[in-house]
Amino acid sequence: MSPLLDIEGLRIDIPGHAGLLRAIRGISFSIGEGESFAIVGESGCGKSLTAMSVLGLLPRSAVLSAETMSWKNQDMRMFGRRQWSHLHGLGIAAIFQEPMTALNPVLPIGDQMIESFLHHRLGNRRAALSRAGELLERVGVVPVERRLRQYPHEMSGGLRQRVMIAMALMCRPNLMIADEPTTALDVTTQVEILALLKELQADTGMALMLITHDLGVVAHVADRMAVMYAGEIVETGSVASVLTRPAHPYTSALLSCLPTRGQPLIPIPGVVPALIGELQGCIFRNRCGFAMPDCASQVPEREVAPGHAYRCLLARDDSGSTTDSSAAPLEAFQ
Amino acid sequence: MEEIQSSLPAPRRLRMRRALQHGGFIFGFAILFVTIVIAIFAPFIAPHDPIAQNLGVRLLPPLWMQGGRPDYLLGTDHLGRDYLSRLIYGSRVSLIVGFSTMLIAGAIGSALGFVGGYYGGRTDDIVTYVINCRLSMPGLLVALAVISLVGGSLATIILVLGLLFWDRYAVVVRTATQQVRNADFIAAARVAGASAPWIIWNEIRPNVLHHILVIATLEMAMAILSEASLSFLGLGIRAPTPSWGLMIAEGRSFLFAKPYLVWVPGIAIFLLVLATNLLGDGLRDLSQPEGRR
Amino acid sequence: MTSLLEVNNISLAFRQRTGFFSPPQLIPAVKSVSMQVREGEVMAIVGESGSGKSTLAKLVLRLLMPDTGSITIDGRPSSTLSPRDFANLVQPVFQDPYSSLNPKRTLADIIQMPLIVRGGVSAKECQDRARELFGRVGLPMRLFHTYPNQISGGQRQRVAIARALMLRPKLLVCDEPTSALDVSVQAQILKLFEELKQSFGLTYLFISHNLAVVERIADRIAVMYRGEIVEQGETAPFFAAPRHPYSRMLLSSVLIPIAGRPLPLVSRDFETSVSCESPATERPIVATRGCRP
Repeated sequence: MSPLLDIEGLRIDIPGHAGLLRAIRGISFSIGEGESFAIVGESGCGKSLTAMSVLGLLPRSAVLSAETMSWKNQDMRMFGRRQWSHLHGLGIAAIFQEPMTALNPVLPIGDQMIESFLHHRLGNRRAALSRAGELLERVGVVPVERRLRQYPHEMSGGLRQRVMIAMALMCRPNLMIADEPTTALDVTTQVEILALLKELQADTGMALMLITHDLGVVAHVADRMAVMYAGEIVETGSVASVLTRPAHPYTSALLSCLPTRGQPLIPIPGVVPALIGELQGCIFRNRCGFAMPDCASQVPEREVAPGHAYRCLLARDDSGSTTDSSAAPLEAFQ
Repeated sequence: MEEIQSSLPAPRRLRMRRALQHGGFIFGFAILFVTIVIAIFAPFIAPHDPIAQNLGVRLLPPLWMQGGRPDYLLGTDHLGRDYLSRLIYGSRVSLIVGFSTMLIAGAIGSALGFVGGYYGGRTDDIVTYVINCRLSMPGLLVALAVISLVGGSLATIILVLGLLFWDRYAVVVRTATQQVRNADFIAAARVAGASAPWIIWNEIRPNVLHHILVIATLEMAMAILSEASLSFLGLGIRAPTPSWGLMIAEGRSFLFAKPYLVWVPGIAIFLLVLATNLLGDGLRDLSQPEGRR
Repeated sequence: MTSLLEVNNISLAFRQRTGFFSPPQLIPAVKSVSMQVREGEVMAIVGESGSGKSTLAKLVLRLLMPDTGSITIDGRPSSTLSPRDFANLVQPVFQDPYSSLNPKRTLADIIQMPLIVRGGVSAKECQDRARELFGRVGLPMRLFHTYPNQISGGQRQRVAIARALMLRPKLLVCDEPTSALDVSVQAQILKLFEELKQSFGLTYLFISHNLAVVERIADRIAVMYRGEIVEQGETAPFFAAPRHPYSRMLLSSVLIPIAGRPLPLVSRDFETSVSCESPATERPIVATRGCRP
C-alpha cells in the first residue's frame, strides 16, 4: 500500500542577510493512512517549517526542493492554486499551538467553522451548521447552540483548541497536522486534548502528523516518530523502539534532560550551530559527548531494528544503549 | 562554529542599513537637511538683503526668462527686493515654526499620553477627556480666531499652533504606552523600586520614541502649512519679514502678469512639506519589523 | 530555620465591569491563602492557569495589593518596607523571556537597572558587578553590549536571572521561569537555579504548572486550585502520596516518555465537592463533569 504522504530528500533554503540559511537538509519520511507520526525537536530545528511545506504555506522567499513529495501518489510540487485549495481542508487540515491567533476574533465560531465546508461546496448552510453542531458535540464543546454563537475570546484555551479540532474535521480530512497542539495548555487540559485526538483518529481513520518538543506527548500519542535536530532527521523509527533504545546521542540527550526524580539533570551543553554556508559531517558533533574527528566528514545511516534508523558514526548494538538513565527512574512517576 | 544568534545584527545597524535602502526616507532627509543648512547660513548664502527695497529693479523676472538678470537669480518682487534672498530667509520662518511647534506640541501631547497610558484608571479617564475636548475643537479655526484677537507674530503663531496640535501625539503615545505598560520588564523595574517617572523615561520612552518621531515629522509638515496659510491670510508673519506664505499673499495681485511671484514660494512650501511627510513615512516603515514594509 | 516569607490569610478579588450601569462583579483570584517559606528552601506553587498562582506571585512582589491579609518578609510587614528595602530582599524572574527584557536596551543596561534605580554605587562598580553576574549565569562576555533580539530564549532567561541577582536579594520569586523554554534549555536553566541557590544562599518561591520540574527543584509544594491552597507539604511525601484529589489529578497528568502506556484518565468528578455555585468561579465547562453550569 502506498503511503498517504511521501516525502524524500526535502530541502528548504531561506535567503537572509547573513547568507543562505539551510533550514531543512534532505529529510525523508512518509505517513500511511490512519497512522500517527510524530516529529520531535527543539525550537528552530525545522519541524514547523516541515509542516508548513506540506501545507504549501512556506514563506515566499523559501526555496524548496525534494526528490519526492507526493500526496496520494500525486506530485505536490506540481500543485496549482486550485489543487492546494482542494487539499486544504479536504485532504490535510491543521491545528496550531495558539488557537487564538488562528481564529478570527470578530466572527462567531459557528460562522468560522462552516467557512471551509461551504468553500468546498460540500453542502448548503444548513448542512454545514448541522455538521458543525455534531462535531462540537463530539469534541465536548457544549451546549452546541450557545457555543456556535460565541466569539473566540469568550472561551478558555482548552475550549478554543477543541473548537480548532472540530473545525479541522469539518471536511473529513485524511491527515491532520497538529503543530504543538497542547504546548500552550495546562497539563490536565493537555491530557484531555490528546485523548480527544486519539479517539477522533480511531473514529475517523485519519492520519495524524504531530509536531512537538515533548517526548512525553509523543510516547502517548504516536506510532512512529522522527527526531529532528538542526534541519535533519537524526533518528527515526517506531516510538516504542526509539524511546526504549535511543541510538543517536541527541535522542539520548533529549531524554536525559527531562527532569526526573533522583536523577542528575544532564543539560545538553552548547547551542545549535548556525545553518549557514556549507555544512559537512554530523551537525550535532559540537555538542556530542561521543564526538570524534571523523564526525566532521562522514555520517553513515545505521539501523537498530527494521524501521528504526539513525545517522551516527557510532555503531550501537541493542544492549549498548547510552540511556539506561532514562527508562528506569521515570517509572517512579506513576 | 558560530552561533545562530550572532547572525542577527544589532538593531541600530540594521536600521541604518534599511534606512539607506528607503528612497522616500533618503529624499525627505536630503531636502530637509539642505533646507536646514540654507536656513542656518542664510546671511552667507543670500546674495542681497531680503528687506532692502530697490524700486529701480522692481518686478524683475527670474534669470531664465526674458529680461532676467544674473544678480537677481529669481527676480524681484513689487518693491524690488531680491526674491531668492527672501526665499532663503523665508525658510527660517517655516523651519522655526515647524520645529518649535513640534517641540511644544510634542511635549504636551507626549506627557499626557505617557501619564494616561501608564497610570490608567481614573487618571486615564481624565486624560482621555482632555484629548476629546481638544478633538472637538476645529483646530485651524481656533488658531485663526485667537491670532486675529491677539495679533500675529512669530511667537504667537508658534504658541497657538503648539498649544493646539498636540492631540495626535497624545493619542498615539497613550496607546503605545498601554501596549508596553504590562510587559514584564516594567514589572521588574517596579519591583526594583523605580518610580513612575523613572520607568516612563527609561523603560517606556525608548519603546515609544519611534512613534513620536513619526508623528513629529507629520505634525511639523502640518505646522509649516498652517503658518503659510495664516501668513497668507495676513494673520501670521508681518511684513517685511520674509515668510513663504506672506510672499504668496503679496504676489497674489500680480498672479497673471508675474506668476513666478506665486509659484516660486509655492514650490518651496510644497517641497518642504513633501520632504517632511516622506521622512515621516520612511520613519514609520523603518520602525516596523523587517519584512512588513 | 526562620520564615523568610510569611503569607497570612491574603485574599484578592478582581473587579470586572460587566455593563455600564451594573455594579462591578467581584472575581476572587486568591482566597485566604497562608503559607511560609523558610530561609534557604525552595517552595513551589503548582496549579493550572487560572488557579491564582501568578496572582499570588504578584502579591508577594507587591505588584498587586491584597484586599485582606498581610505578607511578612524577613520579619517585617511587606507593606511597610520602602521600595528600596523591598527590592534588596525580593526580586522576580518572569515567565516570558521576550516580555521580560526591554527590547530597546542593551543587556548591560538591563542587568544594571535595579542597581541604577537603587543608587549608592559608582557607575564603574555597577558595571563590574553586572559583568561578574553576566559570566556567573553562563553568558559569554561578547554578548554584554548586545540587544535582547540577538540572543536566544534561554540566554534571555539568564539575563533576567542576572538582573534579579544584581541587588543580592534573599528571595527570588520565579513565575514559571522555564515554561516557555525548550526541554534542553529548561534543563540548563534549572541547573543554573540549583547552582545559584548554593552560591548566593537564595530562597525561591517557584511557580510552575509542571510537576516534573517542581519535583526536581522544590523542597516543599503547595497546590493551588481556584484561588486556594488545597494541599501543602514536603516534596517527597507529596509525590509518594498526594492527598487531595486535585493533586492526584495533576500528578497523573504528567506524561512521561515511555511508549505503550495509555493516556491517564483525567477525572474531575471531585469538583462537585468543591464549591461551584458561585458564578464568579465558574470555569468554562471544558471539564466540569460534576457541576455543569
